[in-house]
Amino acid sequence: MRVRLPSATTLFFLGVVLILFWLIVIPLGQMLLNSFRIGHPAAPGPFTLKNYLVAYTSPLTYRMIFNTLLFAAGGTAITTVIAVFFAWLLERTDMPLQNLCWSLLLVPLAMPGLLFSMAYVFLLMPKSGLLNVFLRDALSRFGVELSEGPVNIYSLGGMIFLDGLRGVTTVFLMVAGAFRIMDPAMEEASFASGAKNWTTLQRVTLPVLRPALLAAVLYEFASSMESFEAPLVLGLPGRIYVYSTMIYVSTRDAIPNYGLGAAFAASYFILSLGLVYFYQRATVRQSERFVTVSGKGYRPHRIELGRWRYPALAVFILYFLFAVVLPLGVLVWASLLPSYQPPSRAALARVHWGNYWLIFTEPAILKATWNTLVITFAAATTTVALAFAISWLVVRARVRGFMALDGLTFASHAVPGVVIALSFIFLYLQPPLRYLGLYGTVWIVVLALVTQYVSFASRATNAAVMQIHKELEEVGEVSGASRLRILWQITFPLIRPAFIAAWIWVAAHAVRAFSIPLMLAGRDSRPLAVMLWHLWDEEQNLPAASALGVLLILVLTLLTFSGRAVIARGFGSS
Amino acid sequence: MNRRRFFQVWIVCLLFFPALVFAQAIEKVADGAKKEGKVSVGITVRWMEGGKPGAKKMVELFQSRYPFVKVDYERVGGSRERERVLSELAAGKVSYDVTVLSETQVPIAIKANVMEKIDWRSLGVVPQHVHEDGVGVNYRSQVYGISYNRKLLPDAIGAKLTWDDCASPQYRGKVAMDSRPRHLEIFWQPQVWGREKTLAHARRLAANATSFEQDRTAAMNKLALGEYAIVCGSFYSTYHEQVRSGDNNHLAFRVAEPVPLSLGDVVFVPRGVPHPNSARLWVAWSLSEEGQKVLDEVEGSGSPLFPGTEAAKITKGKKVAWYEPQFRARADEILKEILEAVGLPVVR
Repeated sequence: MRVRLPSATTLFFLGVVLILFWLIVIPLGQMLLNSFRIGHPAAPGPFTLKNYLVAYTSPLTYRMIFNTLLFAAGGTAITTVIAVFFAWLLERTDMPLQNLCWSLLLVPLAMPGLLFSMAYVFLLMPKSGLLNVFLRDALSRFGVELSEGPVNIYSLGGMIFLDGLRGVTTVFLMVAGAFRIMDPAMEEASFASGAKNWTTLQRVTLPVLRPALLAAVLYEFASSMESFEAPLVLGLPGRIYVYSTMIYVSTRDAIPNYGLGAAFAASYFILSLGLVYFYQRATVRQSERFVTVSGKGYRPHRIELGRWRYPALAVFILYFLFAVVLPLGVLVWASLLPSYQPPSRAALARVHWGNYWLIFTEPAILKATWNTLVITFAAATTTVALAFAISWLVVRARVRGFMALDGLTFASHAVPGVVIALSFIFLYLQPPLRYLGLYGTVWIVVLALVTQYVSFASRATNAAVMQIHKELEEVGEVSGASRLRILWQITFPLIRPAFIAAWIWVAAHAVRAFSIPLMLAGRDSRPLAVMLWHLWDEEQNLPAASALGVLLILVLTLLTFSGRAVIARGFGSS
Repeated sequence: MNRRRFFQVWIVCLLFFPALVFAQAIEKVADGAKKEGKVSVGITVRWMEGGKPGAKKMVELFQSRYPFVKVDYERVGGSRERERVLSELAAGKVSYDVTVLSETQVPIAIKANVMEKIDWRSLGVVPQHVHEDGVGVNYRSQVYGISYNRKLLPDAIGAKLTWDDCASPQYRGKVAMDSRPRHLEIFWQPQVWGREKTLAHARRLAANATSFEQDRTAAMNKLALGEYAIVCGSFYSTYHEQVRSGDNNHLAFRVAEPVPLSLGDVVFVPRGVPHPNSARLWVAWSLSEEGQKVLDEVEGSGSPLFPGTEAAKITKGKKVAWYEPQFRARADEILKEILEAVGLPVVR
């Protein structure tokens, strides 16, 4: 009897499925298992329901869930209003300096969330924050005397404000394209019917863009739910906990309890899964009902703002002031002092470059720079390679079970960074994977980042593979080439621009990644983002942290703009 | 030899014999260290304290005493860093030959079998500093007090502050403390305030809008900036670090009675370290009079068991409340009650 051997494609499929199981299913399973155990992952105790009982009978937990939802909803609302307004201003109106504003809107991408939050501590600490001092002075001229505030950044309101400002660029990029390419026929019909700008925006433009807006809102809501930096820097001193910080505190505070952290993570994961489900529905199912980009030639109508042109520009400048100029300015100031103090003539006399010198000479920081490069390169390359393999199997090869593979990949989108990190701690601190010796190395950080980003990267590569007609690959088949050779020599070169774009996206996120490396990196594997936190939190060396932050922002700004240029050139040539 | 002479010699021998034994044991360890030539140390002292040499000075002094051992130093600070160290050790990754854990982490570390059991007494370490499980040593002292900002609270008031004032409505919203209020753990002991009084005090702190910082140094930095007027339960060493820089002379430290005092931070040698002798040598030296003296100079946290240290000086004649070993062993149970009372999340 002849045994039929599985084809190379089937083996390839099984290999990819195995990798995804290793990255997503097994760690989550291990975390779920440990949510029913007490003790440290290194010395686990007996099985129990105690963690769930403690977690879900405490009023603090429900306050934490409420805080998380309010934080995410508030942040998303602020972000969406500002981002949609700017998208409309820059894409559909005649506001002055549009090109410059477009470029400036990318700058916040270069400011890691941790630095943004740190800067706002200097600016809005209740008593000594620079803006608070300024506001108190201004108010005292009107007879209002305050001993502190008026703003307290260590509050839920403060966290929402920062999260709202932080998300603007991402949501702007998501909706600006939709504004640009929408068919103007309906708007023109509205104007022809006598409707004014505001009525048209409210009753035509925004409803037409609903799928894109809904997708952006859900994406931002999920991102805010996952947000870690502002809740860590501002929430903990103010005793305001959200899911991400509660899980972190459970595993890193004075009395760690990993099982309890895992019990919190279980409901966090379910909540995120629900969001991802709605996001999927919003982006896939609804999009077909709102087709407004057709094959017809069109040029969207530019709305004339008239006397509102310069006030509109002023609103943009105000945003840029709060999102970039003030936080960056205060970091630069703090980086030039031996110990932080508000600007004064006496402080000016103490300005020096010593903190920058430290950055370039401190071996731990140089090591962290190297780790960042290794993590960024390895995470981006592995993620995009894996995403490309998944896309090829799902879109092109369509082997049996491809839908399950696609679903599994997309499910990883629902796992927040801290949950991935916690599940990896359980997996790699316990036998048998403990013996691999990955815990505390850069490689465990890379694997966790691949898990986090593979979902996004696969969406990008799916779209790219879909655009390539099968005929091209069929030519290869007729010529006798193997499927893997066709994949490498025909398909890959054609999707290279998308591959590069996805690589840059993953690299840009990996270089700033914080929650995963914070929980998984060891002494010798810390990247710069964790080193920054180390200087700020452990060393309490605020000037050195600020100096490192300023340099990081400069490098990331360069990377953001060169990345944008590379993407533009790549797509242009393709 | 007459009888009297015999007893004199015998007493001298009795007095010098332990020192002789310790010296021999240290010599043996030093011989081993000579072959190893290196030690990697990760403990709590900052490399620079208040802009002046901190651990740097300790390392320099150690290397002048033992020039054949090169010290690679890195700070392992608060609970988050220590948890990282514990997890790494549990995963079989040894980053330091000598490192530090908190009292509450020691039982887990013992269960995970990552600490080397060493006879520290035979290396001359004062018995009171040897951890009761014998796995490490409590290498420094912590005196807890009330720090205040003179610009916001004049000495006439600040110098009279009591522990009760920390929860007084008069200072509502002006007080901060660490999210692990260890001084309250000491008060919790029956021979100090006892459980009920301590928990009632903790509840008053929560009702008084007290800020809980993740780190004592962060609280002290904000005290210096004027964010808070008072920081209760701050370490004398943290205050010492701030004023040592010369920038923060507007800060003051009130030694309120009872004065909570503990020998804290368990320094140990992990299992399987590459330089075990050098590690022992470092630990034994850091607990010697010379080691404690330099620790006191750079951090103000030398043991009060050694005369002339800051802790010995500021607690002289005061009513001191020690953190007794039997209660230290129950630290996480006591802490849990306190955290619940102040409204911080209890994760165990």
